[in-house]
Parts: sequence; structure tokens; C-alpha cells
Amino acid sequence: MSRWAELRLALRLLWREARSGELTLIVTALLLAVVATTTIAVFSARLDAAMQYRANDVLGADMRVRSATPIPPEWQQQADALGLQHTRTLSFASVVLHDEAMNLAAIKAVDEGYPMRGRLRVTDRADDEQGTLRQQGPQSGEAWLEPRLMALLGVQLGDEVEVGRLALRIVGVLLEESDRSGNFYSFNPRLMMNWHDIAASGLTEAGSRLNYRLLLQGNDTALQQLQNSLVLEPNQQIETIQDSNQALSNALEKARQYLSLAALLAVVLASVAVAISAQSYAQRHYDISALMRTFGLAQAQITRIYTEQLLILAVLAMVAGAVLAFSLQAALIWLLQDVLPKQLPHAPWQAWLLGTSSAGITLLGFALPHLYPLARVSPLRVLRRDLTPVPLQGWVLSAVAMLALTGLLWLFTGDVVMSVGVMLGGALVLLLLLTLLTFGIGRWRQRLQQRDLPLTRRFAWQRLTRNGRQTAGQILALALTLMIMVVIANLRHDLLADWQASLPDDAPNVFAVNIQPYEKAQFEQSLDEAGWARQTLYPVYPSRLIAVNERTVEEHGISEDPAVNRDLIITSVTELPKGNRVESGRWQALQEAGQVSVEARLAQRLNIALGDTLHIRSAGQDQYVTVSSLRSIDWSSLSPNFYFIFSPDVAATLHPNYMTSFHVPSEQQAQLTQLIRSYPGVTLLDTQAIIEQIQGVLQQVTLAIELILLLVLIAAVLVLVAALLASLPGRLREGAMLRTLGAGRTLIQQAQRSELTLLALMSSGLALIGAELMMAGVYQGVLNIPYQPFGWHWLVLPLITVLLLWGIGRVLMRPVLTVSPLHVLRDNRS
Amino acid sequence: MTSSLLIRQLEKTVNSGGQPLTILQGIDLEIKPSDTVAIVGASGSGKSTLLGLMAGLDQPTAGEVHLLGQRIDALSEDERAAVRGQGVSFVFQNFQLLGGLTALENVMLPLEIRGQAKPRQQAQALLQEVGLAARAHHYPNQLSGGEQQRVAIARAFAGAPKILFADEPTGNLDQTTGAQIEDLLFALNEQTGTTLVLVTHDPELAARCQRQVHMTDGRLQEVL
Ligand SMILES: Nc1ncnc2c1ncn2[C@@H]1O[C@H](COP(=O)(O)OP(=O)(O)O)[C@@H](O)[C@H]1O
Ligand SMILES: [Mg+2]
Repeated sequence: MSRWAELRLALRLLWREARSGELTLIVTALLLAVVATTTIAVFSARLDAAMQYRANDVLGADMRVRSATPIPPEWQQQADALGLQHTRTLSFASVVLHDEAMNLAAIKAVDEGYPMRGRLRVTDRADDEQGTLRQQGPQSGEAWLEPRLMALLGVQLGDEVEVGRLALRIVGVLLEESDRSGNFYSFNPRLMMNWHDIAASGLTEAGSRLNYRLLLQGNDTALQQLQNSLVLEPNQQIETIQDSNQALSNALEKARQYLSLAALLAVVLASVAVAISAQSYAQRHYDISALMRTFGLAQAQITRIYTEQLLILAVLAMVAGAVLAFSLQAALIWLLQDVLPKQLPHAPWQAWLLGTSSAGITLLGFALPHLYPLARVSPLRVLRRDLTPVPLQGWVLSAVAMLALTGLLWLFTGDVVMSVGVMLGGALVLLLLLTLLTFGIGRWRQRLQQRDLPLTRRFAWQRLTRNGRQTAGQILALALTLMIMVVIANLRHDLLADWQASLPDDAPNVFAVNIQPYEKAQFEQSLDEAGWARQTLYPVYPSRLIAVNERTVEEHGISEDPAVNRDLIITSVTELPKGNRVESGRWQALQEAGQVSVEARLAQRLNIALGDTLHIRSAGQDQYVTVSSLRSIDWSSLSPNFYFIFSPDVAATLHPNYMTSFHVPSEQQAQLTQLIRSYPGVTLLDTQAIIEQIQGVLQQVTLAIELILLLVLIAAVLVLVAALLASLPGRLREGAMLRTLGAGRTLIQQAQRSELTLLALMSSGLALIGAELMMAGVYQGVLNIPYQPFGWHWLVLPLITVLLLWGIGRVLMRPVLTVSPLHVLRDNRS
Repeated sequence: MTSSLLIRQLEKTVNSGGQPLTILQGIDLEIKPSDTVAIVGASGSGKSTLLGLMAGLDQPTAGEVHLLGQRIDALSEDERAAVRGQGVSFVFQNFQLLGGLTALENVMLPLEIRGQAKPRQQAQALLQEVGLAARAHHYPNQLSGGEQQRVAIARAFAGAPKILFADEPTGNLDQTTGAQIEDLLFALNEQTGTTLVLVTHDPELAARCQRQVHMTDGRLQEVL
């Protein structure tokens, strides 16, 4: 028989079997693996792009370069050559005058082409609170002011303000500026003017700190090319979303991790289903193989036929899965259309490849090894039914499966070491559990043999304990499935709860700094009278880092660090602020004299270690303090955060001003204006826009997570179905046998239920233990969310599992109850 | 003309629970083309084992087996498979139809594997022959035991085998049905001139064969 004829035979057999329903389960499992991975890979790639897009609103560009000196014209030429759109902005602080009134403002001069991305909402009528979105900045000679600045200066639309040597007419009220960077320490109110007025104003000569920015937009490769070719001075810096909004990127990062974790778990589940169905597929095909051998086929030909069939299945699953995944992710995107940008970028081809290759990997790792014995079936089996081929050793099967999973994990995470580590650890745990369970079941069998049990229960025990190894495998597969479901569902719940908690309805949306000691009590009282939820008022000591261990910052090699180049905002508190965690050292040491606590990541950047002595200059006074603890900070909380915290004795020698954050309900904006007027010296920053942005993103991510949870659930049910279906032939035989012995329907059903109940209880117990361990690990290790053990799950999960197994069992096992005993005994597939 | 099957001093010993167990010993047998031979004997006497060795499904411990003019006792499994492919077929006690294939497809399968022309038409004709043309598209579990065995017989005669081995072909059937199957088997055998070797403990079936050999405790005796 030629290879070609073989392939045709393989195809024909495959087609016939598919028609008879023989392949349905294995194909469904494969398909699900592909659909789950592809949908999630593609969807999260697009979501990622969408988030990036949204995040870029905050950046105002796809990429930004910041410089303290004017942007070199060559950069713009380069950007032109690469086909990138670009524009310039300049921001700095300057005094703005109107009659007697004057106030420090954050000036931003914008060139043509601004805004490039994001929203610029401006109104030119005092009674209009909505305003309109603008596609360009103010004209020459005109200015837009934030309401806060207008209140401080007491100006109206149409008035003139002096900026340097220039008079600008106020023609717009700036309501929203999405790329206003979230640097809380430079939050003077905004005045936006035209780029071409800068020279006339003479402001750039005054020596204040200037921030030139080149805003860029275009395709990724061109941006990357530009980034690679720019030679940056120390005062120049590429800005990306990570820099521009810490809180947002934290939330996104967690969401991303969650999505890929969910995708991976869905694949693991689908793989288990593939393995189970492949195994029972192989068992059902021993006879066919033996028979084909009697027809004259060689071993190698049989191997080839099955391999070809499998490959065909894989290709079909890939194609069908990709099509399904395409529609599914399109449906997801359609569902989310309100929160997603209109023009969603396409997923990169890698995402498609990643998803579809999972079918191949799953088949190779989970199905092929089980089919190996098919070619080894002795043709003598046609005469002696008991001749079953020896399957591959359990460890070989596991090793291959582990290898495949590691491959998948690696594809997903791109981290070899982690993938191998996780798999080895997982393999060890599974092996240990399998051995323990097998042993336990064996012991149990002995124990039960000596006891009188009701018939149905005895039947259930016997079925479960007869093949200890197999039952152990079944329990483990079920337990794994349940565990994954519990973990995924809980992670989802807690992730959302965590986000909710970090952004409660009364999350601070206004920051106040520069509160003087004499007005502190009064300011506090004003906030409390307004009924606004607020943080404590933290004392602030503007300081500079001079030396580390008597080595100047230059000698220490950190003089270029931005943290060294500007005033550090240092506080002094005795209680560890919320969202702070001591990583090393002792917090209590701050009660001693001359101590400081430093934020851990900054300490690492500045090469500062526990026990180091820092020379810090505060308001002209030199302080020498010892680093006694390093803290991590939850930057996503919108409370004031501090890199350095002094011990009280150090603070006592200094004059503080104060800062705090508080929540102003949207309908009380007028009262805020009142507050601004009462405390002209206090600087307020409105962070409501940032909060709304984060909430918008979280909302879309939450929906996505919900949908992905659904996929994981489908995969889990598939495993259950596969496991029960695999046991169907045996059950049919046994049920028929029981019925010939006179057992009624009820008895068989009761026996079945007892068995399923036992299975459910054991696997859900195991799943809960596993889930507790895993959750603790994921929470503390990956997500940084404090972990709480489950409570009511311990009651609910076993119950649900029992009901679920009963339900699926009832549907799948119906033939066992209804098929005539004779028919089953005759059935040659048994 | 050479014999269809020639066996010399055949011996089969297996390892059973660590002990060597001799199932067959000193068996000599020659079967001429178109012969019909019945192997009878008590259950457990070694009939099926002998059948398996004769048909090249298993390897003897000692002795020679010549099947269709080729010595097969020293061949590898794949080489024996090739010999089987050239004209050996089987009918089994438990029918051995493939549940995933229809009656027609079951009959087609050996034809397709052997690369014969027009497998569908041939199979259809054979089903007609066994009186099941109308059931061609039914799956085995939709057929009665007798019908299943008729499909199996049609499959066995597909591709005009030179020798057909049957292991208790009526063992799973009631008497009337069994008798019908016997009739069918012998009728087709007459038509095609196939050599027929069948194992049975049904004396009536055995009596319809030209020769009967009796198996007792692994030894063969001609029944005259
Ligand atoms: N591979 C084997 N291992 C152990 N015992 C075997 C093996 N093959 C056959 N037997 C034993 O040899 C004897 C003959 O079996 P078999 O040929 O099936 O008898 P029959 O078909 O006449 O009933 C039986 O007792 C059977 O248990
Ligand atoms: Mg027998």
C-alpha cells in the first residue's frame, strides 16, 4: 500500500469515525484548547493595544521625549524622515498677573499639531460646563486658563493676564487636558498659550526650569527606530506610559497577569480533557488496530495512519479554532465597544500563532503518547480479547505532558526559568499526591473489605478502589479542574475588590500642598465642615540629598538621578502610612534619634542600604540620619506617598508645611472654589480626571475578565464530561451485568450516585487545599494583595461538585440505566 | 499443487505465572487447497492457540508453519502481516465489527487496505450475497447478532481470500441463527473454493466439514 493510499485510508477512516460521533469529544477538547488560547491571546493583545492607546491619551502621544534644553531640530527631521507625526510643547512655572492679583501657574505653550492624542476640552462661555473638544491649542495672543487659576486671579473670560512681558487675552476655560502629567509635586494651575508667543514673553530667559517635550505619533517600528537612533543627554528622557501614570499601569499590569493566567489555566484544562479523551479513544481502537493487522497492515503503517489522523485533526482544530476565536474576540470587542477606542489595532500575528500552536502542542503532549500502544496491539487480540497492549509507562506519559505544558507556559510567559520551575514543582506535587492517593485507596480497600456496607455503597467503594491508580488519576484530574475554577473565580473577585478598595467612591480626588503651619488647624476644620473625607495632614520638609556615607552624590555616582536633582518631599510620622510595607529593617527604629526610613525601590536606585548615613540638607540645615528601614509603597493608592520619613527628633528642628488629599463630591465643586479663595497660598490639584480614566479602564477589564472566566468554566465542564464519558463503556458493561443479576434501575442509579458523591467529595477537598496554597502564593508573590483563607468555600464547593457530577452523570450515564442488558453484552465495542 | 497449510512438529509453550506451560506439542497437519477442516475439542484444549499460529497471528515456540506456500514461523510480525494481507481472512466468535463504521464500511475496510479496485461496489455485492444489502448503512449496534456475523462473513470473503480461519463462528448465536450462518459459510466456500479452517465445539458444524481433527490437551488427532 503506497503512502498516498495510506493517507487516503487515514482520511476515510477519520471521516467515517467523525460521522459516527467517535471523535466528537477529542475534537471538542482540542477545539476548546485552540479557541481558549487564541481568543485570549488575540483579545488580550488587542485589549493591550487598546489600553496602551487609552494610556497614550494620558501621555498625549505614542511616545514623548523630554528635554531641559530646546528639542534639537534634527530630531524633528528624523521623525519626518520616518513618517512620524510630531509636535512640541514647553512647560514651566511662572507668575501670572492680573491687576493686583498674582499667582504661580504651570504654563504650557503648545505648537501646531497639538493636541496629538487625548482630549482637550475647552469652553468659551462662563455658563457652559461641558465645553467642546478642541483639535488645536490657543491662537497667538490668547490663553486658556484652568477654572482654579481664574478663581485665584479673580478673572473672567475676555480679561487680560500678564505672562512675562506679554499680555494674553483669556478666550477659553480649560476643562480637561488628558495629557496633563500626574506629577503631583508641580501642580500649579494651568495656563495654556501658543508656542509662537514664547519668544515675545521673554520667559525662557528668566532661568526657570524648562520642560521641552517632543510628542510623537506613528507606527511602532518607526517609533522604535527613532528611539534607537536618539542620543540622549542626561537631561533628556524618553517618556512612556509607565512614567506618566503609575496607578493606571499598576492596574493594567495586574489585569494582564490575570488574563494570561486564566488563558493558561484554560489550556491546562483543555489539555487534560484531550488526554482523557485520547486515552479512551485509544482503548476503543485496540480492536480496530488488531483487525487491521489481520488485514495485513504493518505496525509502522498503523502508526502512520493514526499519526496522520491526529495531524489532520490538529490542523482542522487550528483552522476551525482560529475562525471561532476570531468571531469570539470580535464579539468581545463588540460587547466592549463603548469603553474601547473606535479604531482598535489588529492583534499581531504572534498572538494568532501562539493560540493556534497550542493545538499542536496539546496533541503532541497529551494525545499522541496515548495512541502509541495502538500500533503495538497484537493481532492475536482478535482471538484473545484479554490481550491489551502495554501503554507507555506512566512517567513517560507524564514527562511528555509536562514537557508540552512547559512549552505552552514558556510561549505564554516568555520566561523559561519560571516555566521549567513551575512545571517541575507541579510535577513533583502531582507525583507525590498520586502516590499518596493510590496508597491511601489501597489501604482503604483493605479496610472496607472487612466491613458490612449497604449494597449500593459497597458497589461504589469497590468501583473506586478496584483500580487505585486510575481512581487516583481521576480524582487528581477533577481536583485540578476544581482548583483552577476556584482560584480563577477568587482571583477575579479579589482583584476587583482590590481595585474597588484602592479606588473607593470617596477616593481622594484633590491634593492640597503648601499648607502653612499657622493655617493648618483652620484648613483641617474647613475640610471637616464641608464633610469631605480626607487623609491626615502630613508635615512636609523640602530637602536635598547631599551625600551618602560621607561620599557626595557625585562621588556616589547618583548626581544625575532626578530624585537628587530636585527637592525631596520628606515627612515625619510615627505610624506606618497606609499602603506602606516594611521590606527590611525596623519601622520602630524611627522612635530613636537621627533615623530615616527610605522607599525600597528608590534606595536601590540610589544605591542606599540599611545602616547607611545620609547627609540631607533641609531649609539650609544639615541633617545626618541613619537608614533604619526600607519600605515598599502602594503607588496605586491616591494618598500622599513619601520616599523618605524622618524620625521625630529630626523633624522637631525643622519648619514644616503640610500636605493632604481629600474627596470632593462632583456636585460640590463650587465649595472647592470657595476653599481656593480662602487659602490662596495653598496649592490644590484636581485628580478627578485621572480617577475617571482608571475607572473606565477597570470597567472594561472587568468585563473581559468575566468573559474569560466563562471560557475557563467551559473547559472545566469539558474535563468532567471527558472523564465521565471515558468511563462509560465500563459502566455500561457493569450496569448490564448488574441488571442481568436482577438489579433495578434505582439500585444502579444509587450506586452511581454514591460513587460520584465520593469522587466529588475527595476531589473538591483536595482542590480546596490546593487552591488555598496556590492563592496564598499568587497573592503574596505576584499580585501583592493580602491573602485571606477561604471560609464558606469549604462548604459550598463540595456541594456544588456533587450536584454538578450528578447532573452531568445523569445526562451522560442515562444509557447505563436504560439500555437493555442483552444489547450491552452484545455490543462489540465493550 | 502445494498445500494451503502445512504444520510440522508445532509446539507452543507460554510462561504462565512464572511456570512454563505447554499448550500445544508435536502437532502435524496438512491442509490442501479448498479443503474444509474442523478443529474440535474441549474448551481450553488449545484450539484457538493453534488457529492463531496457523494464521500467523502468533509465533510458535518450535516447529514449522507453512502458510500459502510460505514458511512463516520465523518471520517477524510485519512480514507475517504481509502474508496475511495476501489472502488470509477471519471470522470470529464475537464478530469483531468496528462500531464506528457502517456495515458497508466494515466490509470495505480490508478491500481498501489491500488496495483493491472499486471497494464500494465489491462490498455492496458481498452484502447482497449475505442478504444484507438493505442494511448497508446501519451501524453494528443497530444489527442483531446474526446480522452482525453475516456482515463479518461478507467481510471475510471480501477480496477472495485463499484461506479463511473461523474461531467458533456460531458460538455466540442461538441455534437457528447459527445454522443459517453455517449455511452461508459453506455456500460461499463452495462458490469461491476458499480453504476453510474452523474451530468449533458444535458437532453438527464439524460434521459438515470434509475433515475433522480433534484436540485434546494440546495434541491433535485425526477423526476418521
Ligand atoms: N499466553 C497465554 N498465557 C497463559 N495461558 C495461555 C496463553 N494462551 C493460552 N493459554 C491457555 O492455554 C489453554 C488453551 O487456550 P485456548 O487455545 O484458548 O483454548 P480453546 O480455544 O481450545 O478453548 C487455556 O488453558 C488458556 O488459558
Ligand atoms: Mg477458543
